[in-house]
Amino acid sequence: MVPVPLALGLTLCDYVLVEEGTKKVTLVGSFTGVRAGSFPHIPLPFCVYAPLTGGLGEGTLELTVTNLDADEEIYSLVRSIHFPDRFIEVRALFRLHECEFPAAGSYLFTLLVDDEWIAHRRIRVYPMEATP
Amino acid sequence: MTIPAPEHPESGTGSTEALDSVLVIIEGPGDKTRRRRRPKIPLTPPTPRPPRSDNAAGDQRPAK
Repeated sequence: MVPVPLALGLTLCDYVLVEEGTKKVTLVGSFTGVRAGSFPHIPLPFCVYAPLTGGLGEGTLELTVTNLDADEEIYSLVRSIHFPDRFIEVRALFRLHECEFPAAGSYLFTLLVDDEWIAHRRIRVYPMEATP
Repeated sequence: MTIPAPEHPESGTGSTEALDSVLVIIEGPGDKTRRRRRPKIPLTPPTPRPPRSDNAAGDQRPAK
């Protein structure tokens, strides 16, 4: 896709409420850390929300989760997207189920369009008994 | 999660909505295949550009 869109944000949160009719969204429980009882840890389903603008045409949107300590990608979701014009806002809402964190550490959520980096957000996953 | 739109009073106060936007919902268990991180993003900061050696003070052309 040329030009590649710009991410207006990348937020991890517990829920996203979508209002019928108006299509307004409300992000609930934005977080940057996960406390785990044991490992591997599968948290409850959560959301990643990213409004994008400035793109034009067809492209492939991908969200990846990388274990930064092991330098290993552990999860990804892919979807094609379409920007009819450069001022349209494409609001990408990922709902992640069964995103398994194999160990405590830092994890990077990266958003890509046609394999080009768009945005990233780091979270830390730590054991329940530890101090974050 | 979809919630019903709240009812707005008919007193001319108006309302807001998400115009000129497309909501794309991507659900999934996703791909859980473990693989080495693909080198898509530089995690180290870019090296700074070297200072300009010529005319660093600006446009100060010698007088003719």
